[in-house]
Amino acid sequence: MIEILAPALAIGLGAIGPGIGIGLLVMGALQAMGRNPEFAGEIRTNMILGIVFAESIAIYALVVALLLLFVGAPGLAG
Amino acid sequence: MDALGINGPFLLAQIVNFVILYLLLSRLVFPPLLKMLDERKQKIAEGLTAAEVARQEAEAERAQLMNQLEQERAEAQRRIAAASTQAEKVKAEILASAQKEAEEIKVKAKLEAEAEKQRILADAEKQIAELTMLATERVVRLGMDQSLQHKLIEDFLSETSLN
Amino acid sequence: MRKLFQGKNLIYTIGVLALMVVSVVFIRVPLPTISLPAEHIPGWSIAGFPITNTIIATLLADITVLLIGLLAVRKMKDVPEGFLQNIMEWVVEIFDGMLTDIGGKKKARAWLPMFLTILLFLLFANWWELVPGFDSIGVMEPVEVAYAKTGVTTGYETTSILGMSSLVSDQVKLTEEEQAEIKAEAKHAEEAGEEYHPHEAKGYILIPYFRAAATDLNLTIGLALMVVVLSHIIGFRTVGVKYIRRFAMPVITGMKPIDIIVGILELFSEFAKIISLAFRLFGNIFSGQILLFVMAFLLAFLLPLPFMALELFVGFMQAFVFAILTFIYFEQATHSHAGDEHH
Repeated sequence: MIEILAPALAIGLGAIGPGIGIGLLVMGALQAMGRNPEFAGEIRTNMILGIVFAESIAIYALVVALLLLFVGAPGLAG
Repeated sequence: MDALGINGPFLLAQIVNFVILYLLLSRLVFPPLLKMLDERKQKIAEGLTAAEVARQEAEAERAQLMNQLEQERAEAQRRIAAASTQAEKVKAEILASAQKEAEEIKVKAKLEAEAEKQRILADAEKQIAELTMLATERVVRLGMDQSLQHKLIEDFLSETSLN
Repeated sequence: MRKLFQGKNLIYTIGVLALMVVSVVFIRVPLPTISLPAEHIPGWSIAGFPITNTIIATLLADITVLLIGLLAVRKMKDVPEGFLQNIMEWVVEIFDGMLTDIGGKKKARAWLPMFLTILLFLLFANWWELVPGFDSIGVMEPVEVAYAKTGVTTGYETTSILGMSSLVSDQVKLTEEEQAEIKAEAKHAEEAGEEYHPHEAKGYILIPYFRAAATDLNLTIGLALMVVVLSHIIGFRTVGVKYIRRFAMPVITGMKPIDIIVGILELFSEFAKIISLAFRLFGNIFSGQILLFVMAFLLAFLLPLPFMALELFVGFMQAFVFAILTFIYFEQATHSHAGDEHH
């Protein structure tokens, strides 16, 4: 049971932070775009970069989940 | 490590592979591309400076032409002004001479008229005298008394009043 | 949306839906056996070293990049005519401008080749994943052999489609008794110095010839390691011995003890750089691959399409992020420690 739960928890909990982070990031970017639309292109580029960096934290959680799923952790049965 | 598939020889092989790729690309591909870009940039910059120079030249030429035109215009203006003063002068002269001539003609006419008048007057006086003589003769011939004589003369004179 | 159900569109819509239903019922795509390490292709080796499918994909990406690069510069013209030359010039110009914005003209020119090599190599390595044939053409391996090697317990039955043997979605699971039996037999064969062959294969798994290069940790860790080590070499070259100060050695520089902690943090951050660079790329591409597997497994047609578009974007973005981080690390290494110099 634990070997199924562990990866699920890893990705589930690990996705919370980046989710909030990406939300905040996009919020800020959209506000900035609304305030000065003439820089919308530049802001969008930086927003996407920021999203990629925030997303990569979720990806680390995903990697850990995949490791648990396909390789298994020492001490865990299976 | 084994479970993750990380292993020394493969790691090394990948690094070596990348280094070879980097060397090949940075020898064969990027230099010509960068050179081409730089050359083009330079060419564009040169073109821009050339265009700027040409523009300035054209500007100078234009200014010169404008200057020349201005000068010519001023010259023409001056000439027109001169001609117009000349014309004014000529006009005044003509007017003056015409006036003088008219004056002369007027004076001459006046003199002539005066002379004519004098002549006519003289003529009239002469005729009056002749007529008077004629009348006198007639009166004398008839032998009228003095008073009738006077009355006749006065009648005659009032009839033929010239004054 | 309403137009989908009018006139000619209705026929198309019904056709696509029918295709999807058919695919669900008749063309079940088996879920490929997911393995974290790159698979060795059985029977292929160079000088005793087995060849993995990611190595082949890496070489494929190399060849693609080199071919495109060389074709682009083969007939250089002042007024670009060829599509490749145009596009390469555009790429070089855009990223030259971007790096100049970040690090100035001199640094941009010095590291532009490294930046572009990483970018193009990873870009094509990631995009090759989307080409049909990747992860789907390969060698059939009996699940027993796979179990003896990597512990896979689930295989698939095979059938013949158009003369090619292919997996079907019917799963074959090894029971515990069979697993024990295979273990014993494999051990026996190893002791005898032979390769293990099962008497009769119950099921097969597919070992693809091609697998996205960045799904191999050797590639991502190798590149990250190289980048970080290079950044330190560049730091030493430009800053000199003072570069060590960044890692706070009070004995040498006479700095305050608090700097030891800062220095230790800096030291750790160097390792964090390697790990984050390597796992960001690996994680994104690997999870993208699994995403595509699962989508194709759920519904073979149409469903994977938007995810392929997403992977196209992710593939470019990860290549770009790796390259731009490389440049930023190089650029940072040339600054001396922030506390030493007052700019």
